[in-house]
Amino acid sequence: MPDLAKSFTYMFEDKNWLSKMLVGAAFMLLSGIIIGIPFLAGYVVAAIKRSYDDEEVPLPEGDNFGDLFGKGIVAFVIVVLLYIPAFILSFVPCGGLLTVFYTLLAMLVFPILIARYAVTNDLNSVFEFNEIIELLRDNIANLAAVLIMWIIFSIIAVLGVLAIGIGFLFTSFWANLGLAYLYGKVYQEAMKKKETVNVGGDAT
Amino acid sequence: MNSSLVLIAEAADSLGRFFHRHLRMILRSVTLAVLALAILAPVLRTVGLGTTSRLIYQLEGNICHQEPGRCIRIGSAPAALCSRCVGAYLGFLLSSLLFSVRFRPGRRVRFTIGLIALAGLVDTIFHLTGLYDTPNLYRLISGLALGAGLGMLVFRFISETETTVSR
Repeated sequence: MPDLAKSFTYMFEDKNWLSKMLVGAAFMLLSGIIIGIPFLAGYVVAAIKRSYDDEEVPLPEGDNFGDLFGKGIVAFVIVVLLYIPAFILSFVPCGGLLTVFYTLLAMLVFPILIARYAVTNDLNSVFEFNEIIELLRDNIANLAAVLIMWIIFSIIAVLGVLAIGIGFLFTSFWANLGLAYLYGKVYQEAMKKKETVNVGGDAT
Repeated sequence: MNSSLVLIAEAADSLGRFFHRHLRMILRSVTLAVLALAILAPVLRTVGLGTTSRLIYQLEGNICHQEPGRCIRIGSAPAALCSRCVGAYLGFLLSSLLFSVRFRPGRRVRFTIGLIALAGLVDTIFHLTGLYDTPNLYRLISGLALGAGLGMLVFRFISETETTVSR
């Protein structure tokens, strides 16, 4: 299990955390008029990659806007593709049971999909269903813990409104970074586990 | 501050593990509760406990259309779920008992359930498109098939995760 507690504080280990948080808050502000969403999503994807790679400087620089925008658009596509079935099911009369299960499954599998894209930088890797199901099956306890952390981060992010409203920009960006850390670490552990199983299998 | 963050993280970790270990039991309990409430609502209305009954109808109204003509009547009032939903939740519950680590139905049983679920799905689609209307008993059976089919997928997957843990 990754260090869940570290996800609350790791971003402050970066020497330039304040300036990076200000840039992130600006992305959050621009997300209100949609334009900031791809940049924000791209930044989160870059942060996931850094978490996976155990980089010494935990937060991305965020100055390559073209790269962030491209990655963010792909991340957005992944989210849309993942939730389209839930959206369709929600219109089916008595589709409640299916919608609930699909949404829960989507929320559990999302960290694997986004981290997979962040690490490989290849959208095709998200469609390798057999491997994704295998990763989900072998790491479901970690993914469930991450899902609970998502709920906790969301609550704390909303509490940012108490800081004269503008605090929400910082707390929600901070929450995104915390989740990025967890997604990267969970995927890293999943891949390590998979390698161990493969090596063990080869040895026998 | 730091110790409280560690505490929150530990709680999330424990909850995640609890969720994983008891997923089957959680799903079973929730399904059973949904079904029990669907039956309890008309019973409470019949015996005159209108307020409690109304609350249950409102709660279950979030997951079902509750058209009175499509619900099984219990006493003088319709159930809080339509007959297809009752069938679906019942089928799902039965699947949770059928698919476990200790007992894994063979290919033939799985194929049969899959086929019946497909028939249930086709019936639902035909009904939704207005091609024909079916009586409540048919809807109940069709829902039962759908629920069992969905349960087969869900609980097979859960069985596999349980096997991974016990390895």
